[in-house]
Amino acid sequence: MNPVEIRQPGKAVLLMGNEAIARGAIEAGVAFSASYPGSPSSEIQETLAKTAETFGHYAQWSVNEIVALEACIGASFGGLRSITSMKQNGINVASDIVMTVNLSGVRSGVVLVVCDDPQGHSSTNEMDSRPYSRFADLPMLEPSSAQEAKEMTRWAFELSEKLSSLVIIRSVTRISHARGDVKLGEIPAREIKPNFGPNDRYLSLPPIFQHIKMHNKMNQAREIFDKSPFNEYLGPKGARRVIVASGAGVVYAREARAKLGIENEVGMLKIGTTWPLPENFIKESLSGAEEIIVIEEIDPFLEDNLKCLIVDLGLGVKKVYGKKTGHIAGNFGAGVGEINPDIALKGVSAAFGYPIPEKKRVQLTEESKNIIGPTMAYRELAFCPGCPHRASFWVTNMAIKLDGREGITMGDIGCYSMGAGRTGYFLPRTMHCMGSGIGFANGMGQLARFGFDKPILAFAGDSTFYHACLPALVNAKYNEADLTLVVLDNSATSMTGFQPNPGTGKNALGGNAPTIDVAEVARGMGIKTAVLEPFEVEESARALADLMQEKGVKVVVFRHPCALVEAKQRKEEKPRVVVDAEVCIGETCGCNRFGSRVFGCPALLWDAEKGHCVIDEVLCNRCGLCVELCPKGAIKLD
Amino acid sequence: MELTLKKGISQLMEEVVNAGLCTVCGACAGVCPYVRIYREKVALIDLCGLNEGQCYEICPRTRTDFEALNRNVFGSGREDYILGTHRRLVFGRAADAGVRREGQYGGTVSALMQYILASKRAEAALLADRNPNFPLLPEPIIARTPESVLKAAGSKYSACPTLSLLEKALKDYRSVAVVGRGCQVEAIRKKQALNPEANRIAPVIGLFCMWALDYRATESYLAPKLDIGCVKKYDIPEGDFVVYTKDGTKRFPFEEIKSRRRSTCDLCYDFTCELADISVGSTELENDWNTVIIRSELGEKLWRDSLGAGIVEEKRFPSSRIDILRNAALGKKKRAVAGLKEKFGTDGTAFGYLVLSEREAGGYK
Repeated sequence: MNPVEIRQPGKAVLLMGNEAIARGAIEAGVAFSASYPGSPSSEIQETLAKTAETFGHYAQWSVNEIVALEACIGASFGGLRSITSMKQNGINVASDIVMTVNLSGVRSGVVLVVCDDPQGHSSTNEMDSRPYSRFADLPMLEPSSAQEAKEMTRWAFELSEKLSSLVIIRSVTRISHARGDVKLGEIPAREIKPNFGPNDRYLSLPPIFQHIKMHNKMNQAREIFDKSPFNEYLGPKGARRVIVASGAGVVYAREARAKLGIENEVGMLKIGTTWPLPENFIKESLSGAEEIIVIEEIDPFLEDNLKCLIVDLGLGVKKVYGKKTGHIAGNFGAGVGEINPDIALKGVSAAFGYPIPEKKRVQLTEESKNIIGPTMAYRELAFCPGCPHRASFWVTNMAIKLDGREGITMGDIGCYSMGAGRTGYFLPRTMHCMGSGIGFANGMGQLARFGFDKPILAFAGDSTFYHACLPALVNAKYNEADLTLVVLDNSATSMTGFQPNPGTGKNALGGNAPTIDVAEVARGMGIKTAVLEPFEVEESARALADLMQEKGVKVVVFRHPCALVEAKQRKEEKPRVVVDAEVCIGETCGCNRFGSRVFGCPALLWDAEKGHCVIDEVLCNRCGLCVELCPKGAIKLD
Repeated sequence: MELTLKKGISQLMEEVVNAGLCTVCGACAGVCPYVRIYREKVALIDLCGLNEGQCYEICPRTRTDFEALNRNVFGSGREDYILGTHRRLVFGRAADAGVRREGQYGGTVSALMQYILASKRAEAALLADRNPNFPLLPEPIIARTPESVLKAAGSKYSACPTLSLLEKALKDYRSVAVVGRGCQVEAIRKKQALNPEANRIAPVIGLFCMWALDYRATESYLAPKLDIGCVKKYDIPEGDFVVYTKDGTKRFPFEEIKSRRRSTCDLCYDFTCELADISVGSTELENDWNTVIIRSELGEKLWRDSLGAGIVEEKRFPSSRIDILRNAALGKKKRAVAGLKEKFGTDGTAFGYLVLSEREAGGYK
């Protein structure tokens, strides 16, 4: 049984932070959820989708974050509690509605969970979403554990209704993806009864008056937060030194305090309501403080806002340590990268002058190091063995070479972002946000009028196509840009964990859905469109090159299912792929190690001793493409 | 296989392709996994990492010693340096009127290739067909049946990279017949000199070739004047460039089209395809006959057998035409040598890529 579905209040279960957030929503009686996947947020909606039938709420994967948020707000207007979740890039996509729904307010509770990815482990940026709360005058909560993530989410709906305001919850990778014991609460019985009265209206107009109302809501929130159990002061009253922390920083701060043995002298202020700050509670907590250190993920958001408060409230704090002073900083400097317990420990130690006690860490012996060392193989960022993107990138690379005009390729966001490296032959020359590839191509594709003669291509995955490429494609067609949009249609949103999208014929609830065919959409715009099989390398490369010769907008859809999806659905075992060592003539071939070096499939290795290609059968997905491509025909199906 | 020129793809790109000398014979693409020909232009997909290679060695625009190749093919030197080593000159044609209708002039080449495949003299034939999507663009094929030979019949006036399929054909079949232009036959002979394994390429039927059009230049000339997508076929009969389209026939002045030829063709020494087993061209006199030059022993046997089997017919080559043919061939040689001298100067008897015997370089005076 899914632990999120357990109906035993008081029982502690092990939940991932994101599952806890979903459970919190369920305990709040959420009725509607919509989201676009993105690490580290995806499991929230996955959990809500999986439990939809059990609890009777609705879940959808939307095409993008703004549509997801607007859908949630729409459901709220109709009287349903609703939740959306997204990664940090997502809130940028959704920002337009964020910056107007703050004025209009909502009806039933709406919660926006944004999960930041400090260090950009699986993102194209590193960004702190918290300034959105201040920017948009929206209340923001920051959980520091799975338990708190659940509690905050449950309470966020009440808060949202009390203030008639969207509420933002900010998580980070180490909260969303860490697992912890979560004490379950009650799941209320509720009847979902949508309604919208004849006089109900939700407008951001007139802005001035709504703006005033919005400020009043902030004042109200501040008062509520002053009494919130999510804010907590630990340690001696009126301590001279206080550690202030939020989010994952709370855990690190707690650990630093314990390790340094300073619980009796140094106070600790945990902030769970990051915006607006609970002024009275802070004033009280820092009543004797002269020095504080602030521990938080990414930007000095709490730190800067506290500095304002110190002046506003006339507090006696003389020194604020943290990111600005360089005390909370990792290897790359302050405000960059993820923080961790070590950074917090060293920061507090240096700022407050407490030495770090000798660690009693188990040291590895030379012998054990030797055992571990060689087994840790270096793995390059690469497409999976059998991945159709490798074929599509190779085909595109060939087409650009065939064309001979140094065609330029704009990258986009998805598994294929990795193509910016060696695995994609370094083809993408730009890489930004969803849909930016075709967006940039709209500009570069207009430069022929000034004598620029290089053909322009843009990559997009199928999910990215629906997410953010449609307006840009219409624009390209309307303004007659010269470009070729290459859609890498692997019929999956693979990077984030195979969520269904409009091209897959499935919806979030596991049911069948209408399929929106990328090629048909493009053709419907009157765009010349070709659907190509990337595994038919020569034919597809020539077909793409042919299209590149033509003026105007063209769309090429490389259609081949994701190797991981295909492997999961595979019924019969495929034949092994083997290298005939007699046929592979190694360095004298003139292929210059095509398989292992040029084509670069991780399952194709070079046996330096024997001087020929070998296949790593553990990695090989048996796609068989190298059998076609090996110029000597040395790779064979067993 | 001992390479003698000690150069590779980078020099090939620099000295031949980028220097505008490429004839688009397809030979380099045939031997290298990284060379492709796209719309009659050599494209390099990646680097092979080798400093020397067959690509450079067998290119007809790298050092080509006509005398040595001649000895290799015919076992003798170039006694007739104008028409090349040959046994007989005849007028020939396909016996079958249907083949003549599909083929160029007398349809001799198509008839011979059909016979070669039918009589199992070769398992496969490398030919120039048309790209169904781009009718102006010839496309190499490996033909296995008389039907596919007939489908590919008729002259194509731009440079089909037929030899790009040569290695594949040799991999898949025991013997491969080829129809090629002078440059292509030179590449085949260079390959055979390098590697006896390539003797499985036989017989080699050569085409008379004054020049080939540059596909890209021709297309951009025609594109504003007609709907390229509607083109079905084109031809150069009697001094006009004629394009047959779905909407009818369009004619263009010959000189306009001729100026779209590949510049490298002006540096070609080999109008009558002197290293082929049999060379075939127009008669410039009778539209349903071909001029046929029977050169090698293999060619002689093929011709006799084809006559015997009733596949082809022949008649005497009119003596009045001999000087006309010889003058055409010699004129081309003179223009080529002059052009090469101007471009590259001379180094003994070498003129750029072209290496002649002392006797031949001196014009056999």
